[in-house]
Amino acid sequence: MQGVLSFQNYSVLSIRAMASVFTPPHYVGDLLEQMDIIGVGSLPVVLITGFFIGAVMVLQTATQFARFGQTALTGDAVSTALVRELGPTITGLLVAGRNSSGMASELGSMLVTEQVDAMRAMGTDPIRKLVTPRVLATILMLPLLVAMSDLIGLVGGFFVSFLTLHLNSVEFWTRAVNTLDFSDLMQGLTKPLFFGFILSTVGCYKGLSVTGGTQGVGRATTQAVVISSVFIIATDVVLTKVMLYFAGRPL
Amino acid sequence: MSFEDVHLGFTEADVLRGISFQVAQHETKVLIGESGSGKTLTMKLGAGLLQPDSGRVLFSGQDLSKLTEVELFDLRRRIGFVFQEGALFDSLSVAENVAYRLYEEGQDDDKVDARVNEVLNFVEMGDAVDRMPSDLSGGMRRRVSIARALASSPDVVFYDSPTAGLDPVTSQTIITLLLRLRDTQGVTALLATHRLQDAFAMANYRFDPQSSRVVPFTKDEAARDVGDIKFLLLKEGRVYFEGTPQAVLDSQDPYLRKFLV
Repeated sequence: MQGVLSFQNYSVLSIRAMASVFTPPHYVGDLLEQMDIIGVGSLPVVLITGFFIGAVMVLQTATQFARFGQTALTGDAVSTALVRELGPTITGLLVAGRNSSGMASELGSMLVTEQVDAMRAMGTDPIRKLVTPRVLATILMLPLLVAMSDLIGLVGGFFVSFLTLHLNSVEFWTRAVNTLDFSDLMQGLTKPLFFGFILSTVGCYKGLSVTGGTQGVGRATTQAVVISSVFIIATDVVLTKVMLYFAGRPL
Repeated sequence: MSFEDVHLGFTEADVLRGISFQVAQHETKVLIGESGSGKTLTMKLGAGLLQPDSGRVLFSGQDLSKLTEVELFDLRRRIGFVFQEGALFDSLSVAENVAYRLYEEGQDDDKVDARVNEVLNFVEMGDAVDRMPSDLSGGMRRRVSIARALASSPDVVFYDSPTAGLDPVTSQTIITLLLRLRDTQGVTALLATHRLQDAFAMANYRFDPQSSRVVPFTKDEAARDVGDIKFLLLKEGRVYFEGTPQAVLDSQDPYLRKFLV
């Protein structure tokens, strides 16, 4: 019963947050601030992680391809895996860890110190002022972060393949780019729209439903990361199936 | 504003069990009660921040439970609310906190600056415009909170335990401020407190604008004005007593006498 109520409240929050995008007043300043926090703020961790993911992908795939003497195919494998799957998912999980928790703790602290009530008492809709800018900023910034992560992941992959497999740069980059078609890019850049929506709405919902004071804020922060991470992975399975179907590659 | 048989509960038992009272225009009603007697909940119901389980809360003739959240946002622009701990936005400076609602209303920067300075000077915090709430003492935060509540000249102000946790001198400063507001601007107010001395200070003193000091009511003034102040004692979610300060003093009720000690 509690679960049904939570899902209902989460749905109402998400719908109201999205509906507020289309009606005034708009808090553009808050949106830009959140875009900076979520987009620019997450860039270092996304780039560093992306680089190493690309590098480790090459190490793992190259050992398999080496068995068949096909190490030249490494670029294809790394590129497809990064753009379609690892880029969006890993970036989604990283931003969930960084920002979903941040949203839950920030909004939760505001709730327990009555700042949210103070906002309501002054005639401001907290969903419009606090939730909508965060959700919109995450949805806008996550695909850009994923694109950056994909690129830097390929750079990481290239470095390792250059150093260990002695592939030349033309060979690696030609194969890596040519293997991608439009549907791969669509898949890789559509997923983060959903992941961004999930991690931001879960973070905001957990923050605004805190009970039990400061301890409750800590609990909400942890739950926000765990729930949004599980939702991201589960949604990824469904999205992958749907998008492969639309790309004309059903199983 | 009136409360009609208002009930409100969480999980098991009702916290408010049938509260009824009225606040007339320009009246200051003082809600007294121990911690947990339902003062804060009553205040939040009055501002429409909570909805009653049963009963009605009326504001200017409108039943708050019949209004949507969006309609309530409009109505709350006529209300000032001073929260127990101040509830200042900690990421905004003092001036931005006070200016918050004015900017929301789309007022010009010049007008906002002038009004912010005016209300901050009124609460004697004119020097603190650029400071952050975390740099302020408890009493200063309360004063900024009062300034924020007053910035848009609301019809009604709710003070939720404005002196709770403050030393006697700072408490006196806050009460002086409340008296000044009542006597110079005729603000309608609902004041929640667990300190009867605050309630009696509201009843027995007035702010004299000429000397800028708080002076006791003369006997004639007391006969006229103190009648406007009613004390409302909450006990276990019910109105235990409602009456004038004199009726409190005359009462032989043991629970009431406990508050007088």
